[in-house]
Amino acid sequence: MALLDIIGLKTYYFLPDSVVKAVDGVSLRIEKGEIIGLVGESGSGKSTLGLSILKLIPPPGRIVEGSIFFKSRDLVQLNEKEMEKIRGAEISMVFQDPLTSLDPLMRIGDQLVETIMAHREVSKNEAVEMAKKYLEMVGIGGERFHDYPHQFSGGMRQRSMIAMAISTNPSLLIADEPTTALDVIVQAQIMKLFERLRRELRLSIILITHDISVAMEIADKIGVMYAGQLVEFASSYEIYKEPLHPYTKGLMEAVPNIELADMKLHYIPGDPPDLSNPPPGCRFAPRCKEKMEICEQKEPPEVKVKNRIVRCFLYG
Amino acid sequence: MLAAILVKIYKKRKIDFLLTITGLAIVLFILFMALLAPYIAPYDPYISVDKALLPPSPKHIMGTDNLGRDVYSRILYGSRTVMIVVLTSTLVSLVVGSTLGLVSGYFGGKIDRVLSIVMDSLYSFPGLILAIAVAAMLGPGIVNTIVSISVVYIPTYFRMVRGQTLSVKNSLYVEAAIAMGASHKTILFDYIFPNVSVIIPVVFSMNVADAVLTEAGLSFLGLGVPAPIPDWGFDLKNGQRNLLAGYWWVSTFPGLMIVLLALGFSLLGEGLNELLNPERR
Amino acid sequence: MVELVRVENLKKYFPLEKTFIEKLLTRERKWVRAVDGISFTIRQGEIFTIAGETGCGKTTTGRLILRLIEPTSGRILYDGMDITALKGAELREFRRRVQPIFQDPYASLNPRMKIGDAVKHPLEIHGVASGGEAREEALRMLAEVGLTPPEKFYNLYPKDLSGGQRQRVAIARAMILKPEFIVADEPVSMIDVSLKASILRLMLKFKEELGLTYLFITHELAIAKYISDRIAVMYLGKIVEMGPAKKILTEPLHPYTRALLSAVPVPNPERRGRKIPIKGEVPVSPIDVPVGCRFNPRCPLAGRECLKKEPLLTEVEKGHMVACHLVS
Repeated sequence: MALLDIIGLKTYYFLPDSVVKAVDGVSLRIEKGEIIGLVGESGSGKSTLGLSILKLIPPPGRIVEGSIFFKSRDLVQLNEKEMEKIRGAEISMVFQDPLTSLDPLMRIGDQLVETIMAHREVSKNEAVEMAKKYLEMVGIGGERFHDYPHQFSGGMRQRSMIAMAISTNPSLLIADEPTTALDVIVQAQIMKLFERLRRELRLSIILITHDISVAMEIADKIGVMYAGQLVEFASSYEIYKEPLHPYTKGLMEAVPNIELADMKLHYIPGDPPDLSNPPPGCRFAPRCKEKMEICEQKEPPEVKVKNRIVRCFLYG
Repeated sequence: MLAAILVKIYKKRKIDFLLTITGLAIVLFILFMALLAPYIAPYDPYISVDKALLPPSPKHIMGTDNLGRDVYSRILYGSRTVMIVVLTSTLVSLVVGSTLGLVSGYFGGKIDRVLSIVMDSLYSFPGLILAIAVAAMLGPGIVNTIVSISVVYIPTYFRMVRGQTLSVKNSLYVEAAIAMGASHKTILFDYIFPNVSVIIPVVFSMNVADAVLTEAGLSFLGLGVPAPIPDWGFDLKNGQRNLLAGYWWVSTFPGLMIVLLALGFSLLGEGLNELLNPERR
Repeated sequence: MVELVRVENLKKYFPLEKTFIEKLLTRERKWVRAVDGISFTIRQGEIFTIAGETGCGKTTTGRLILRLIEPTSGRILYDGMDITALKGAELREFRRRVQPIFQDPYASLNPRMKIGDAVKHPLEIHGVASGGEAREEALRMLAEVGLTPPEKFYNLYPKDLSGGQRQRVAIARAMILKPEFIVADEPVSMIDVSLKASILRLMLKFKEELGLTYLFITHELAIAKYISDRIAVMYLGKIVEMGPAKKILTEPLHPYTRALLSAVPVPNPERRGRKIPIKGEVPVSPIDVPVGCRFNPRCPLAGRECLKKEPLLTEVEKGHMVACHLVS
């Protein structure tokens, strides 16, 4: 049994004059100790998918269909009270901007202690010990325990957010663009940290990012999202060696690679579709180089190719 | 265009829509009263037409006042006075306050310091007190009333427009315009003003309701429109001395009209505010 | 090659906002040394890139060269003219010849101005064309940047366009005056990956057509690699290494450049597990810069000299300059 099994999830935003189908029929499976990279461009629905797992969709959005099985329980069916027991405890989340999630008037150590005591049955002293241990684990020395968030650099803040996220001993960590606001060297450090946490804590991680290169650095599998749908799901190596979906192919050609000697600049012409009025048929069809007649008429189903998933008519 | 705005408000929230429509209806109603006063008023509002202090009856639906003038006719003509004074004075403060705010915020420096200090000190007075002070200096009269009410609201426009100008001034598109070589004039009129002006109608609609009360207050104190001219605030005070004797109609009707008009403008302003305030998603 | 821009010992210090109490207690002013004595030249027809992380001073440098802010000291010569001394007609002429492209296409366009009006505005500002002629030219530019049919885009507002489309509008606006020199500050960093190359290609196309020179400012070295002729790497207000793009990206000499390069994510899972040779981060605010070499607190190789003396940018081979005691 997979740790997390998302089946046919649909999350829509109901605006006054339109319905935005932000996530439209996504299925995804994560095993214990796995790092999944969820990659997509702005408006692809990757962040909405992340929030859907925790049922944190802001109104006027809501999950309209599908299931999210976490440890064999369907989260979609749980009520708010039951979700509160899972949120932050069994599934934690880390966001792009750590400053908005940290209390500026509270010392980092105290915030961590508070989080631990809220989710675990320990005494104050034990919580302080644990807090120090977790800060140590993310690379923050005990001498910074009494610092305030504003005394921390961007990378340190993100590290303390991660410490807070893992302090409740979760089995799944959702990281939504955790390094987008950070410099490239710090980004590399944080990625190394994620990798280590996975190894040491057997943690499963969903890394949501717009940068497929970042995902390629640590993810075991990569899910490529386009216009609210998962168009390809395969191991990082497979996606690198032989992307199947035309969008993934285009993306791999468009992403700059500093190690390649030849200087070619590729891009995918056109813009992503309007999600309140997606084109009939395949959503990528208007931009697709390998478009066929059927692509504009029927929506392609998810196809299994060996152990990968592709949503494209080219593969059956 | 109005229809489009109404549909937009209606879709957003029904209750807001109903309130806005109510406000609009009240304002339009009183505006028509003012425009049509000469045609619908049964009597001349300036002269005595019957016995003094007659209660409401089919002949005088709102009764007569202490001088035998028809209250209903005075109400109708009074709407002209209030509309002229209130709309002109808010318009004057809008133009003066916004222009000063724009210039002050854009150029900064010494002009900005001096203007800001003057405006802030004016703003710190309670509105009516300030109007009384100015009106007392100038003496009664329609133009003087307009001036004294304008002075009260100039700082509001100044502050709002200046603040907005400061933030727009630092935006990237203004920086782009500077780098393109645009002159101060171009930047002010093509880049800053269009982006600042969105807030002006909102401030306007809010101030009008307040100005109605200030105008009535000035007239009530005898510092507003001079005597024979029909004016709600003046009539309210005029009826007040006979109120305890049971002649309620002389002041009640003007009072109700003041409340009604202020309410109408407030509701309309609230509704427009809902619509025009840029939402951030 | 002819040099178009010469920057000499350029400095820009920003006063640090003090709290109320500090204002009462001390008269001493603190400064953020955003750009702290940099010199370089940009040759006619090349793409010169300034690369670096947050707070290295690259954006401030761009704004100084656009003369959006005045330098604290130092000189900027454009085509032989000292731009800080320009006034009136000369300044307007400079503004016609030099155009910016900014990072955030959502903020660099006036939300209340139609696309077409925004594109033709520079023509009107400089009195090059007006009325129907300006309109025709704007339509032509819109078509050239790929916003077709131009008649449709002409009447839209920025809010109706995607990020990539807006950046095309910004490019059309910058190119309509046929400038000579473009300062492009992170022009693709907010553009989706699948479209970055289209914007870069557009910039290159205009370079060919108009014989442009670019100052390209970026934090993404992988992007810099695709288009730069020469690269200057900045750290805390100083240039630490400068030279031909190929040299900088394949044989970097400064420890910071090396670290930066190794940290760039590579879309190839087989290249995982590279070591990042430095620890720590850029200081929270560059007020109290380290004594000696600014990079010494993070440098794995820092020796005694590095803690005392600030290294100078010196030429180690032709056209390749490094500011490091260990190299020169």
